[in-house]
Amino acid sequence: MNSKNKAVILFIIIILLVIIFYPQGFERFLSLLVSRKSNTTSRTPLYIYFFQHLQMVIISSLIAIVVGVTLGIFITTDKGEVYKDIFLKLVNLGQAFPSPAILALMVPVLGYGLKGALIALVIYAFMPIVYNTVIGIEEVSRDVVEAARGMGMNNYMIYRKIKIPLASKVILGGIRTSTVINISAATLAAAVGAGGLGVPLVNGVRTFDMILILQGAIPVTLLAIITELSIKNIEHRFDV
Amino acid sequence: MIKLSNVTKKYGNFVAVDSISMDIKQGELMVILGPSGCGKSTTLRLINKMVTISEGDILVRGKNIVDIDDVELRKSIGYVIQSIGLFPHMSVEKNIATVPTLLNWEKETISKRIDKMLELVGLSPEKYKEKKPAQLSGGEAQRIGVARALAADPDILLMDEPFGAVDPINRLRLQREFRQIQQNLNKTVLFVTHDVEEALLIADRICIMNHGKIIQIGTPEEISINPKNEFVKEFFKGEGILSLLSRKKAIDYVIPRISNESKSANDFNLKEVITLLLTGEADELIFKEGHLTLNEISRALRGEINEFKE
Repeated sequence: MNSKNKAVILFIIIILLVIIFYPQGFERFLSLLVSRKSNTTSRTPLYIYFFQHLQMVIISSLIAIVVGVTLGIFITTDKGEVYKDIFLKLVNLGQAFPSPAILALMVPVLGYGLKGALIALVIYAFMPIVYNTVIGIEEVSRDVVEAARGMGMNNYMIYRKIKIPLASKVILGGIRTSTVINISAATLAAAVGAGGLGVPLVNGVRTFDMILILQGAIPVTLLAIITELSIKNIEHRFDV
Repeated sequence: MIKLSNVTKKYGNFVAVDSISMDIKQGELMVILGPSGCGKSTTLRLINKMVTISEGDILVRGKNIVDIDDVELRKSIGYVIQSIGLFPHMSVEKNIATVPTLLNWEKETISKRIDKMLELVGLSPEKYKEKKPAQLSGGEAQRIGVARALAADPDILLMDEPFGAVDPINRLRLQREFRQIQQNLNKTVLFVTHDVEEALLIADRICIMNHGKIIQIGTPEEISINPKNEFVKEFFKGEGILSLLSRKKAIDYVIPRISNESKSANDFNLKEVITLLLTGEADELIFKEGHLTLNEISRALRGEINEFKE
């Protein structure tokens, strides 16, 4: 089951690489599919958009993971518990707020470009991570924690050796959801001039160019699937 | 070894433990017995500071626990709880190694210790070391719980209904084995249970609690023969004396006689002997060391019981 999973992931990665580094072929394939030709000529090569996209996702997800997990852990501690309700509400609000609006609001503050897009993505990617960290840690059986404390583990040890390892699977689930959402949300970054696979997509929508839309959308989808499957694979290692 | 003086624990207005005092000697197995909510678990948890004391003093090894660091105190006391609380993400081996690792023992020492502990609780090291708790039966998990509590060789063990979740047949086996281990290793044990039979089987002394107060402390014989009040009598439901029989070794009651029988009275307790006599064909049971009849047993026991009566 596991090696089969890996083979599937590898296969999708190869398809993605072919699409990115042999865009002429991909375009010809898409032309056949929609039986129409793209009317846009000379463009930035697809791989540049792809790597811009990847960069945005990686940076924003890493920030969201580090800050989100830390915050999640903090609000489960005795000291952080007071802030738990407020933080969870804020995080929820960030998620409920329409992401294009967050992006648009960043423009007057940070101007056009990567920075604003990253902040919007981080805010958006935050919730599943914080949420799952809190739930994962709170779901660790009281008896197990009681036993650990009774044997002389201090709070730090209990987190490091018991709570966090046991919550890992749930936390990873949050990271997975968040990153997958992030990959598709990053297409919106094109609207604030941060580049990424959103650029061909948005251009395609504007000019009703089916091929352009697919050139942006298909790599995004493949990237999301690869991420989903890879993280799920890691999650299984934490099965008890 | 453990001394409680006027220990009280209050939760707001509720008094969970009400000014109790007891003294547990080195090597003694003291059972705290009582109905649920009587404060027995709280008493146990006060000793390793899982619960903070409201009033009174607890001395462990002659030192007031207020002056001992929480974590240091807990590392020096074995702790077993009903649900066992084995760490599900760690192998049996790692579970047992918990306290030795916290104490920074050397790897080799720990590894040897794990094997020794598994053998002590009757599980083969090769077969069980790598297993995860989810792969163990209830009885096995409970044994690992005991092995883990003994791993760092603490002189004191606190046990909160440790065999509560095990089926009756395995429970009896575990209780006997545990009593044997405790006596061999000369550990001081404070054992909490609501099971009268369990208490009578394993205790050196029993402390009966109700509503946060100590009702009676004494040996199983003293308590079952002279229950202090109606509560104790009701709690024992007259079973006390019968349950005591399983504590008595048959060898102490045989009438010496030369025989060529191969079975030894050392392997039987009085309860088993009486059961055999009642269900068997013969009126007497012959062992290598001598013989036993119902009449002789009852005469001897009546004498003993009279000695205890005040």
